[in-house]
Amino acid sequence: MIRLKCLLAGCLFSQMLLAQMNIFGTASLEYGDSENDFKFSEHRIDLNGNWNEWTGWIQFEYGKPPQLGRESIGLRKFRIDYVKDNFSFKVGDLYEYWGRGLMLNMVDDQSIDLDTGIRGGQIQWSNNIISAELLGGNQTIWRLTNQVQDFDDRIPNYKVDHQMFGGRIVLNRDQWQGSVQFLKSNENHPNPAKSINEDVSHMMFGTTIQYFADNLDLNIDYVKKDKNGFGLYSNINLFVAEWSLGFTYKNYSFDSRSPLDRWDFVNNTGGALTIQQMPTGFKTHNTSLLGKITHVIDFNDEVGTYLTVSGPVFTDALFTFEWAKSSRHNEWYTDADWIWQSGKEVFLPSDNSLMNPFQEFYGELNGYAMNQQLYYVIGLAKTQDVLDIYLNSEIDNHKSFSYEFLNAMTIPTHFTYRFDKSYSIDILFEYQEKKKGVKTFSSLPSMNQDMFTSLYLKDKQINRFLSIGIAKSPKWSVSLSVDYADTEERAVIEQ
Amino acid sequence: MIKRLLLIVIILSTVLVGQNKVPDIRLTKLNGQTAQLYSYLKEGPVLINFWATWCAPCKKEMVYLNQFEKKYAKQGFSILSISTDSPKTLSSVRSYIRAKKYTFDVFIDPNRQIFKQLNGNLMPTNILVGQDGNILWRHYGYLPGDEKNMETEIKTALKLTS
Repeated sequence: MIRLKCLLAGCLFSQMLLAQMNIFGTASLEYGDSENDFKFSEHRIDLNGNWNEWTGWIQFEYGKPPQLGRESIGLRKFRIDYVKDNFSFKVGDLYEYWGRGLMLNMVDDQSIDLDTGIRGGQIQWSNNIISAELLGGNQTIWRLTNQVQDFDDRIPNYKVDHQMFGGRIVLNRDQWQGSVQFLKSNENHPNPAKSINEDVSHMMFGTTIQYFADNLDLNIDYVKKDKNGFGLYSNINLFVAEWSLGFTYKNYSFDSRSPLDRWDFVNNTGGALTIQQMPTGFKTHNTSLLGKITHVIDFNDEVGTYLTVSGPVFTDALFTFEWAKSSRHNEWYTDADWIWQSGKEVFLPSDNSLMNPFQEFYGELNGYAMNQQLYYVIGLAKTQDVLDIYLNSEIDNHKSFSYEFLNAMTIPTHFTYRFDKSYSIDILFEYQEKKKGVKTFSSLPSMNQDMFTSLYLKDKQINRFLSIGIAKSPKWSVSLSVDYADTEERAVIEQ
Repeated sequence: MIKRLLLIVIILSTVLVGQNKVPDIRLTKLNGQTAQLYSYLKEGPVLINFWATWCAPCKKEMVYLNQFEKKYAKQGFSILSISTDSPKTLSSVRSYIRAKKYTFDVFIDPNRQIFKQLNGNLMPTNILVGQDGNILWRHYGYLPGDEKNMETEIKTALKLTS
């Protein structure tokens, strides 16, 4: 009887409380199966609520298994926010960013299994001129590596625990905004080779300056990490009528690693942290074929420039031209004992093939035509990327080197034609010529060679992607996609 | 058993009794300055549009959003365009808006916190909010022709339907 009364009282109380609350919910359900045993069942429910100055968020997940990542069933995320006048605080799972993310950019991107949020608290006070904040919490990052056992390309197998504490002060003055910030991270790195867990501390200080005017905007982010690491990102945009000209310079130098251990974060505890999600300084493509050859940025060691020009060329059409160039800071070579050494440092991107240069030209025209019945995008990209250095030595004045590179020309197009007020057809077509292989050179008399070995069965690969869709607004759409390559990679055949 | 029953009742109450009113969200402009959502609602209904520079359907739709704001501005209607571009691609937002001569106010949500708070799902996400803060209409994605339905909803919110 007492229990029943308690239940009734609980129901009435929750009704009274919830009648004043605003609650929304959303659910995403994903299920997949395939002939090669790629199965997933990943479902999430998000509930958001607000009541006066309070807002709350909880997320439940059933991922057994998820598309990418580790199995997860139950409460995945939660947060409570309180905002009153100039004061606010948050408790739970935080996703914050400072400046352009050189020091802090917490993201939760389930499509690539990247979650850099922290579980902790944040407190902030701000007015129109100044704002100050402090945050702290714990973070567990799972990453995928072949440096430890149980490698599976879907499930991360290496865990690092972080404890973080940071703060920043932001000053707004007319068109200027400036900030200073710091972040301390204490980490626990398992080292399987030594069978120990290493405790590592990192300290970062940074500053951000922004200027925002009618015909110009400017952004400079600088971060100093520990003794020798630093990152600089600067971007300026000039606006003349509807046209804009942008120039970006990036210089990320958080760690210097030889080609052998460039991506080894298990045995190298320095380097950029995963919460440092910095601007790439080149276009991140989202079309099918270009997306497959997107340059992999090295946040530890990359210097680059990026130029963009865009503006209207005729009614409802926008033209964009982009040129990105980057490289590592040093050339790496092996000495007489076959130990990797770094050469002279540069501060502008180099064309030297042994410094992993990347270059891309991209032009695009997009907009509406035929009285807004036709939407079109036509692009052209030329990409050159040195992916890996295998050998670089000079013995008795005889040079030998070997590296893997990629050259590609891609034409992405997209057309949407509307037949009447509700029916439309959507066509995506991409064409790509891709050359990928290993360049080997040696001036040694016994091995005198200068050769290219394609990674494909042919000298170059021709790729075509076609997707045709029909839609009826606002009810349904259906599409069919075909991805065609005229040759396969050698490595795949040899297996 | 009692605990489970109580949990079910509370969840059901949440669905049945909870309101559908947006909080007074703090929005960040491209220049870093902030504005409150409810300051826009004083003038009239607001269409919150989440988009990104990499999202082709969003770009297809934006031309109509611009037309609607111009057409119904006198009735107090406004568009709040919130870019979900990450800090990595943020520098291209202003260039795009300027080149297309769009006149609506543009805000940024680089880590998608507002997007999640308002239960954004696909891109673009459109949420029509009435002057009292209640959500009147919500739409995910864009197919050519969706703008017709959107305009009908805007007119209903402005009480322009006869």
